[in-house]
Amino acid sequence: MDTAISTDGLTRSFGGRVVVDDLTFDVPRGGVTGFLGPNGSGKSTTIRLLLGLVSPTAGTATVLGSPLGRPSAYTHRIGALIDSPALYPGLSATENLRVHAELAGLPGRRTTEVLDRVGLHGRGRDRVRSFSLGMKQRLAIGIALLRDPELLVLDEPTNGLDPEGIVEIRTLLRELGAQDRTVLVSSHVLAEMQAACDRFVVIRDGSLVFSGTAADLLAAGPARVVLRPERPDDLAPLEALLRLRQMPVERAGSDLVVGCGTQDAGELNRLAFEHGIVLAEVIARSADLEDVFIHLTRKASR
Amino acid sequence: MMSILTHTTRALRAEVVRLRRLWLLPALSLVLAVAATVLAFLGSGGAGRSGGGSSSGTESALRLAEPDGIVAGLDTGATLVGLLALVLWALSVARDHQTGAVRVLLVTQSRRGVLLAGKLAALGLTTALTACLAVGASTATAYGAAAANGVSTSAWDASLAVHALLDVSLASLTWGTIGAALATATRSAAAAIAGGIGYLLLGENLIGSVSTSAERWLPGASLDNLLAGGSDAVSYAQSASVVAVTLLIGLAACTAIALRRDITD
Repeated sequence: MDTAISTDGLTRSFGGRVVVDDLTFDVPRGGVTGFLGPNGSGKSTTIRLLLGLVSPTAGTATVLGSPLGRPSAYTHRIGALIDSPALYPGLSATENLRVHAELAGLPGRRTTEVLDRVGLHGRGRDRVRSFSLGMKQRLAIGIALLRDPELLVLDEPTNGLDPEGIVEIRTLLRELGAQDRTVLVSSHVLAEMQAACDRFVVIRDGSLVFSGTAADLLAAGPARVVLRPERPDDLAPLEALLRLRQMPVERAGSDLVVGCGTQDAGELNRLAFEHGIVLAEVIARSADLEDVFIHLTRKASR
Repeated sequence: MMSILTHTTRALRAEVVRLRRLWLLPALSLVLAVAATVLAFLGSGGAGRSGGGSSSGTESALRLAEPDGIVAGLDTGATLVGLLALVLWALSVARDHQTGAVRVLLVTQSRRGVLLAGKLAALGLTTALTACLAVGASTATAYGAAAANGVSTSAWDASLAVHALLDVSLASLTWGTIGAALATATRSAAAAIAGGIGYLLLGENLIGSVSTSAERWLPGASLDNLLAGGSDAVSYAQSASVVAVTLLIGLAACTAIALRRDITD
């Protein structure tokens, strides 16, 4: 696999506390990879390690084929948004872009192109301190796009955006991923991540929990079948019946949630019918990203 | 491979974009230099005018009519210009950390030494330009104030203004470097400004009151003595040396911290 990012045993401690622990994963070139983990799981530190902002305690990594120890060999091919939008509030949007354009040796017209790209056309002369969080987020993404980078690293790019803005960012990520660029994106808006990403890397307490395709990740999650008896009195007998068959079952109001594959829905319906229980509803639910995320990160923390 | 000089020039130009919005501090330096000069000549009326002015005013006018009268306003004005340089440098360095912009700047230009060199070069040029304008404005104001107060300028030595320009530039650069070093260490503009000004104006007075012999080695006292052209107790050369060493230590501290420290905030 041609990789954009490859880490091998990457570790970082702060004062004896291991924040990134023996992390090994690959991000292939091209496409959008979601980088998931609960708050404090080490995502931001991992991103800082990859960008040369923080030195590893142990382990190695390559970014765009160059080792971490030589960030100047690869960071000029990267655009990044790290944590919150890092902008100068006293400067205008254009001036914020110009700081980075001058630093990168880019022509002035590039700032106009980028403002258009992130939907801030006409706001270039306004000072950033007058911007909403969503506008600041757009501008920070604009700075990341300024150099037309091969690898885009975005930490929480949809923070503060309204639903329309979130959809725009999702579309932008898909476009960038389809243009043979690599996008590594972390976000807490899991539904958006599911819609935008081809692959996922999931970490918990600094350790790898999952790395692979979106399909593999969703398959690893807990599917379930929701059963609702026609008569509420049948709820307890049905629960007892399922427990007798060693099936994981939980009550949820007037429903029973059975932890099993969606393909088992018909079998459950048949079983209930054979015992004189009529089901008003049988709902087979595949795991979504939220289910999988909670399932994986809880499992890892046990 | 692109030269380090090209990258440093780019970093300088990027910093200039930011500094344009901080024009108020250099402008304030000019105003303070002019105001200090006007104040130096106030009440000096009388010299050369028959029967005019008080005896202290006449005394003052006679002193101002001496060759160094041309830079009389810079006694106080230069220190104020220096303090504003400390504020400017501390604000510029600390804001990169306080806004988090340093994270993205270091992705755009990952050579930390280049980024720092460009920033310090831009700040240095701005400070030197401000010093030039402040000394020029003070000198021009001195001629106007002298004429208005009847102070004779026939003995004034214009070469002292050039000398003052070098002293004010060196002193301002040193004040600025102290601000930058403190801001790099604390990553806070408020802490750097309070710490820098507090130490130089209060801390050194306390040290000086305990040991007068220590004053010749203290940066703040040396900056004052440099701008005063030396004193009976401490020579100009001694103060200039301490100031130059302080400048170099400040630059070395900035560089060492910027190159080695993780960007975790």
